[in-house]
Amino acid sequence: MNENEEFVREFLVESAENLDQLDQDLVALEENPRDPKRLASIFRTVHTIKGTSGFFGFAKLGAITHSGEHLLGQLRDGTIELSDRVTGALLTLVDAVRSILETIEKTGNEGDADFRDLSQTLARVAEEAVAQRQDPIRGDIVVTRLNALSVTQPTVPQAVQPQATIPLPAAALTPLPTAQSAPADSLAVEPEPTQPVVATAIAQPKAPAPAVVEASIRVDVGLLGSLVDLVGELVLARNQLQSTVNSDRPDMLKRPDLLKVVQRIHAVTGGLQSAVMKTRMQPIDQVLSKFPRIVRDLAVTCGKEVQLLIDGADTELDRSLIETIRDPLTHLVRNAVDHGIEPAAVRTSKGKPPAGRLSLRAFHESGRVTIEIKDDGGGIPVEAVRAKAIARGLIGAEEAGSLSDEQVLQFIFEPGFSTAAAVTDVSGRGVGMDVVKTNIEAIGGTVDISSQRDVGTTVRVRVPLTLAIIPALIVTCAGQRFAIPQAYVRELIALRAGSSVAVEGLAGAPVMRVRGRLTPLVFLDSLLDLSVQSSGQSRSSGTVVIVRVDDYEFGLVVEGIASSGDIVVKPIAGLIVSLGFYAGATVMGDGAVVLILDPRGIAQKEMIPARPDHEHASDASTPTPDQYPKYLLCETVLGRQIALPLEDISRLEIFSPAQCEQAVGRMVVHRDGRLTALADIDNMLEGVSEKRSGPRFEASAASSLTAVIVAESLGDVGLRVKRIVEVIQSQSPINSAFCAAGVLGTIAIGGRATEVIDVRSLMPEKPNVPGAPSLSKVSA
Amino acid sequence: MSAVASMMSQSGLTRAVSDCPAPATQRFCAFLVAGRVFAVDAARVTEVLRGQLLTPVPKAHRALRGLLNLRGRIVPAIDMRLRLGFDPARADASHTNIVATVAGEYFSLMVDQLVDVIEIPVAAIEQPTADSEDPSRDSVAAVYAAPSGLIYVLDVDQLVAGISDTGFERNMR
Repeated sequence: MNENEEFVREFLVESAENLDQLDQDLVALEENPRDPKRLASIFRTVHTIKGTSGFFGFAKLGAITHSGEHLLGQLRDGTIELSDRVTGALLTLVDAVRSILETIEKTGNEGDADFRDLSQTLARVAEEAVAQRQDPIRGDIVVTRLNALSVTQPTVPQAVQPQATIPLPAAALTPLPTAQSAPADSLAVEPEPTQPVVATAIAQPKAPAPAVVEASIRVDVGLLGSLVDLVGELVLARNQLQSTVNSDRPDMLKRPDLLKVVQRIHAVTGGLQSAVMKTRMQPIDQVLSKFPRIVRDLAVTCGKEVQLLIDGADTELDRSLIETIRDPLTHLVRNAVDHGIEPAAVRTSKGKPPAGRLSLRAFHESGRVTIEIKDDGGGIPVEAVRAKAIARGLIGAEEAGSLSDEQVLQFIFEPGFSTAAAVTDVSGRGVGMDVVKTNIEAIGGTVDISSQRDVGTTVRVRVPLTLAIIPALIVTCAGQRFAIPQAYVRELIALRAGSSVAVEGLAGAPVMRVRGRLTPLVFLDSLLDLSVQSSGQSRSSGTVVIVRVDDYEFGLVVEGIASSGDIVVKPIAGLIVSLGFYAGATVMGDGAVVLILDPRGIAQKEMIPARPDHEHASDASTPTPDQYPKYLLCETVLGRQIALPLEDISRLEIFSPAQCEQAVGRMVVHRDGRLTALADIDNMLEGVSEKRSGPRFEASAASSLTAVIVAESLGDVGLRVKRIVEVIQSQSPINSAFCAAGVLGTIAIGGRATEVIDVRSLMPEKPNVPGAPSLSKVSA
Repeated sequence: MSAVASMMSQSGLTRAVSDCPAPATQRFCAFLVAGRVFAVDAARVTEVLRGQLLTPVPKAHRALRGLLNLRGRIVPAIDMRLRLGFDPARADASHTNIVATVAGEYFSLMVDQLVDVIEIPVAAIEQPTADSEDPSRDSVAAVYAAPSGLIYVLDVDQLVAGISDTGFERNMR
């Protein structure tokens, strides 16, 4: 019984592959209805399924495949001609067989579905097709042919193609074009382990070409996985062996033979590693081969003519990635046929050929795989997208006008951007595009879209070759190494004492200005409670790794960069993943385990605010619908919570008291070779409201002073605060009921009324005077 | 019974049980933690390792001492002294890793010393009494009174579950 199950499973696997091939063959047959090899291949596949189902006693499967075989037999013998109706019936048959096989896989039997209708349809289609054949002029020929059929002799479809030969039964055993099936055979695609011996035995009777059977065997995926692990171990052992033997120990010099052997092991291990890694690779054909059928069905449904071109189906990538890109690619192809390519009438009126062209191209490009989905359809109406983005409040009208078309197209990736109610005139693209983007980005890939009105749309999906091996940055922190996937790393910034890079390192929310943007900082040592002698406040050296993940961008402060290179990602126990800091682990060359940091988890843990990225729309980032004003939340020396509009601020700096000087009763600080006035916000506000004067700098004998440097357009002034709380975004309007001079009003932040400072009004009249500017207006 | 008698001899190496196990007995892997004898179901144990390089996991439970590299597989190591509520071992103390499977994942139990693989008659295994001096009541599944003293039988699943979520919270500063 067990053995039987083994055979059934094998039958299911084989049949699933055959059905995929059938889909392709049938669609190809439509192009070239008299391709005898194609026909023979289809006939043989259906025949095999029929035969095997009889062997296992699957009656329904036997019945429908028998009807199909009959129809195919007439096609093959030229009794009937291929028509849409015949192809449709045959494709329905393939679907029915597939559904029965799925039921068998799940339940072990054929299930209750009734397929008698299908058998009848197939028979009727055959009859009708014959009748149709008889209809036209050459009734006599048909009679002859029918006679020929009855004695199962090969006939020549004389009237049509006198010179073409129809394959004899023997022709079924001649080699077929197997380029497509060969790579699939060589890799294990079945979810269940199977016995290679059994596979070969069953494959034999219908083997397309003996050479293929000998060139590839089925291998269990789990076995491949353990091979990869073992080779990884071997590489580590090799490295250790080398460091032992190559060390300058005098006794080693006496053993040149040993050195030679080690060298040999080194070379062989390297070769073995690369060969084993290749076993994980599969041709992208696994995905692309489904598209002829999908496109055909869609084109028929939409009433369009579509010509599909597939190029680079032999491009290889990791098998785990193949599964991940399947759905996103299907979605993009559907979009292209459904919304991109216009109906034939429209195309003709535009002067295009009636049949739309959809091309799928896969190729390797700088260590990644690019898949290009290109149609010559109507393109995406950029202006409609722009208008929709403004209407949905994703962007201001003014800003929208300044965006390039490419940037505007990025809005298509917004969640639910183009729902039916929203953009009926627009092509409808965008439904689910956010899902496409999310899925592709989850594996470290990118999606780019470009479109030209009436010329077409091109979507480029770029994915890494493999997930198992990723490029990573190895950083050090408190003596421990950590890996950060390079896909997240935007840039590295060295922190040096006295450098122009300023960090607001107070306990609240450390931030850093990177390329004009305030970037939150996360200190890895404090994040992970690693033992450090000093807190973040006096950190003056280290490296900031600017990390971007989804819409979060932050700087991860580490001690240093140890190395960068490819690492093998290993899974870690669930209880460590659930900590939220680590995505996995890897084994370094010295055999030590190194944890891989999870920037996404860290961003969530640290509650890094999501940031829209219109300025960098080309960086494959998604703008988010948060166009609300942003404020820097600070606590003043006297403990007052204030909000400063972010656009009025240029940077945050920390000064030591030694850098400050008293000048005419005011505090100034030497900064970049010039003097900047330092003003106490409490003083300024009170100076305005209560006319209480007297600088309060001495009030707290702090070891350092934190200053918010205002935007240069406003003046060379720093506002002294006790600490920076965070950068917030608030949609609540400014309540100007409590408006006072120097205060725009109040907003509620975290349930607390917070004064929004009118930085502009606090500034002196003539801001650009070098030296110590006058602060008379505010502190007099 | 001979195995139990000899278990305190502490050779530190696994000793196979020569006599054929009767169906009325169960095999356990016995080890020493802070001078007491504990045991886990031998069927769950896959191998025993010594002296492994550990990579600490910051922010994890205190008893999760680190990750070790078991032929390319990343295995968390649980310090049984800390897990069972004893004082930590001296920094230079040697330890043995008993690798066990929990829900398809591998975990290493860091113990002071491996004692032996022992056979315990199923009938002699008792439920732990409510007020027994269990060092870590949450993971002690049973008690066996061997001639040489009490053996605490630990539940491997519970050992791991105990350091997953609630344990993590408890150890947060």
